[in-house]
This record gives sequence, structure tokens and C-alpha cells, in this order.
Amino acid sequence: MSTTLAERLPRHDAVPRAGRIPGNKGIWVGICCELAEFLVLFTVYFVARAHYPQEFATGAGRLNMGAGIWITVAMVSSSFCIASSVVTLRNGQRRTSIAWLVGGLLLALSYPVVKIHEVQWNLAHGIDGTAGIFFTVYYYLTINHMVHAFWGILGILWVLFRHVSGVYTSKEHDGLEALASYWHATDLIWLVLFAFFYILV
Amino acid sequence: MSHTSPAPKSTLRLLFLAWLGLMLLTGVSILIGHELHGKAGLQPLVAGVLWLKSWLVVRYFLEGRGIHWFFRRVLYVFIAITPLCLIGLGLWHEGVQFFPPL
Repeated sequence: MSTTLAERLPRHDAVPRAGRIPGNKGIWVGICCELAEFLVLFTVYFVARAHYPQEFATGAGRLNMGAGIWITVAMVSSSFCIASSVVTLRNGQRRTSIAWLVGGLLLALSYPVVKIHEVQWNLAHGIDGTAGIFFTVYYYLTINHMVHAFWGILGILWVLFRHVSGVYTSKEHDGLEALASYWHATDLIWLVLFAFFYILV
Repeated sequence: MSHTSPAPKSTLRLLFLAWLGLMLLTGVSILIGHELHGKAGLQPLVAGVLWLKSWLVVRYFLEGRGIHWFFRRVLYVFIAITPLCLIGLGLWHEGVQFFPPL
């Protein structure tokens, strides 16, 4: 069976065999660095846990479980909203995409609000950075994560501004995809922290 | 960048199901933590649930199947390391000897 030259040439909109890079290469280099950084921090957790199992067994029970659950729900749900924003924009539904992104932003904003409340609650219950090795590691990792989430929230605000300005189209939306990738990676890290500090009691 | 989605409605449905799965697994992990407090099986079970939740995020939110092979591998290695370490640490604490004494 013969094929025409046009059929044999690669299509520009087809996904390349090696896979596509959502957003841009720069954000993925950043994501790899973020994951590597947290792997180092997770090593700190495992070393501390291996040496002080009793402190880790009792420490988690003293934390505010409600705050941990809410941050998990907020991170996962905002990730879902931002992923939906990308999908609806690909389908040409710009206004729906903006609405999903606003939803993602509002849920993401609840993270620092709950975190501040959680820290105040901790301090009121005598849980500060010197309360024991478990709490030192807990503050070290969770505050580090909140800093990354803060960059993500600033990113959402910037992408939302550009989206409302009409910069993104169904064919050209690298910025939105880059933000979504970063936010999902930050979500992945939180899932680990939730298991470390709130579940493993 | 040019990218087309063949079936956005079904993609949204999959995203919703992934989100629902993540919510359910979060509930399951809380239940496991509560019921198996201080017991030996806690760490492997939490590790399993953690891996499943991370896989859902990578597979559906990050569209892990379609992304560049290098970044796909980075993500899948990242989500495997922590659960494996949890299982290893659990075994170590239970005194399981990986290598017999000489």
C-alpha cells in the first residue's frame, strides 16, 4: 500500500514519540530541582525517625489533625481545578477555564490561612521548634513546603492575570500548563508530608 | 505549543474520578492511621495508599503517560522512593534482618 509524502511527514500537532513537555523546559528543570530538594528533606525525616522512633510515634498525635486534613483537601482540590482549567481551555472554553482557575486560586489561598491558624494552635499548645526532634523536622519540612506553595500561589495570580487579559488560547497556553505542572508537583510533595506527620502515628 | 485534546468531556470526568479517588484514599489513610495506631502493619499500608494517591496525581493531573520520557521517569521514581523507604524503615524497626549475621 503506497502512502503520500504528506502522510509520512510528522504532524506538528501530534504528541512526539518521546513525549511532550507540558508548559516549558524551564519549569520542568525547576520541578526536578524541587523534587530533589524534598528528597534530601525526606532523608532528614527518615534519619531522624530511625534514630528517635518513640518521639515520632507520640509526636504526630499532638498535631492538629483537622488542619492537616484541610490542607490536603485544599491542595488536591486546587490541583483538580487547575487541571480542569487546562482541559477546558484546550477545548476552547476560555471563560470556564478562567472560572476553574479562580476556584483553584481560592482553594490554594486557604492553605496559608489554615497553616497560620495551625501554627498559632501549635504555639498555644506548647509546640514550637524546640519541643522535640519530631516537631523540629515537622516545622522544617512543612514551612519549606509552604514557601513552595507560596511561589505557586504567586504563579496562579500571574497566570490568572494573563488568562483574563486574553493571552492564552486553546492552541497556545504554555504558561497555564507550566503553572499547572508546578502546582501538581507541589501537591505530590504535600501528600508525602501528610502521611509523614499526620497519619503515621 | 500546540496540543489538542480529543475528548475534553471524558477527560474532565477522569479528572473528577481521580479527585474523588484522592479524597477517598485520604479518608482511608486517616482511618488506617487511627485503627492501626502503633501496630506493625501501619507503615506498609500507609506506604501503599501514599503510592496510589501519588500515582493518581501523576497519571491524571500531570498527564504522566504523555509527558517526555525523562520527566515521566523522574516523577515515577520520586513517587516510589518514599513508600519504599517507609516499608524499609518499618521492617528495620521490627528487627527484620536483611542479611544474616556472619
